[in-house]
Amino acid sequence: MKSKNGHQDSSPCVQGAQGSAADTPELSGTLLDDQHLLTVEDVCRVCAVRIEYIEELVEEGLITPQVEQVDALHAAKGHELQSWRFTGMHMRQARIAAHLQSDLGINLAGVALALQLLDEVEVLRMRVKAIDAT
Amino acid sequence: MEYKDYYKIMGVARDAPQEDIKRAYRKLARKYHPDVSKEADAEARFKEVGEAYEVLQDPEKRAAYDRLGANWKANQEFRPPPDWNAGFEFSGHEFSQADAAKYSDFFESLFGGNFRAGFGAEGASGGRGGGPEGFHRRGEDRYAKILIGLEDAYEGATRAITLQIPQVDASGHVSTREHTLNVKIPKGIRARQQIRLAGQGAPGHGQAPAGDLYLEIEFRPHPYYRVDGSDVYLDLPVSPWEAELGATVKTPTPGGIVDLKIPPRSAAGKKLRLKGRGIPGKTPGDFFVVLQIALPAAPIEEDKDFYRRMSEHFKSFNPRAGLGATG
Repeated sequence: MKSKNGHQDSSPCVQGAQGSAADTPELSGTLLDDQHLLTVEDVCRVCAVRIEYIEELVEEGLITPQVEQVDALHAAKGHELQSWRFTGMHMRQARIAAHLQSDLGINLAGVALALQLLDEVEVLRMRVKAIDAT
Repeated sequence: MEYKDYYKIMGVARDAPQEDIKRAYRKLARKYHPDVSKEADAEARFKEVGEAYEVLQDPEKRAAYDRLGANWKANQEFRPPPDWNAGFEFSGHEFSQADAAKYSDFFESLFGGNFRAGFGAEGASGGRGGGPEGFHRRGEDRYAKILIGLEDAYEGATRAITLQIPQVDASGHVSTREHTLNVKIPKGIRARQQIRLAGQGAPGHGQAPAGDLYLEIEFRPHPYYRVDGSDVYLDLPVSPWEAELGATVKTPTPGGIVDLKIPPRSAAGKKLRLKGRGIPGKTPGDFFVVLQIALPAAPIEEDKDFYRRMSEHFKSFNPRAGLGATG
């Protein structure tokens, strides 16, 4: 079996980052921290979903984008989407939501519950690790 | 190429009804979904199960697969018999480039050609993006998780990252190629944060620009540090006299060794905070030391005598006093 990509959006699997390779140039990316926000188009592209799907996630309260001040011209109804700004964490949530929904056949409410439980499991795993260490 | 026993992978009988297959798939998909599972081989198992389901859920493909016969063993060297699928008509499920690359050579040899016939390498991918697709279309974004050391977040680093990129050649054959990038890891990065590398995603179609590559950060498990957001934890063993009398001890942090003051009368489990010595940043995290009391072993008689003298000296000390088991 040859090595495969992940989901439909061609994600390569987890890679270990090793020391630098000599003959390739160094790339500086943008760190998606709280200062670097993404537009709804950015999120759609990386999650390979339609804009309506992101709207659903926002309506369901799964992710809550910040709203950027837009000028009067764009503030007109229907341009609300354009004023949304997402963090990298929002994008990560949206991506996992899209995968869970298409791969496990669960609805949005189920996805929301799964994500919440996954977060709780993550916290508990940390605690267990701390206990196991002592 | 090896024969794949899709029924065995799904854990169902060869004559299982469709609804059993669906149930088995859902169960296994939940168990091995890479976003949910912590099993070591989750990703590989999830793909295997997905491929098995892709065949067995489709009555046409399942019938074709069944016609290969039940005598094949899993992992047995396999070559499809000539005209094995003659007489079967596959209805038009189109595979995207990304879909095709998910599946094994075995799957490819059985179903690949038929489905992608007339599909070139260009424009073969639809994905979930949708929308009208012209000849000029921006390349897809790619997303990968990478493992880095915690020290990289303290100091910043440049790391070589090798990605497996699926590609489809003109005749529709899918393969993967390795793509190595030297990526600057910025100081202060935290687990789950992403680095966006503009133009390092899939190449554009026609004159359109390439997509972006997103790298999600995960820390390699450290032998003694634990990370929680921007805070870092260390369990630090101290001797009973250091804990009771107080001491200054050399303590490792990812940023270097520091002198840590242990206050007198410190109990096991006591948490000491080194403010701002967690992962650096505008609001840097903290470094927490959790004390553990380590007892010296007493292998020789003189050592044992010392413990006996302690026992004599601390006669009234009952570590179980709080449990009501006095006396």
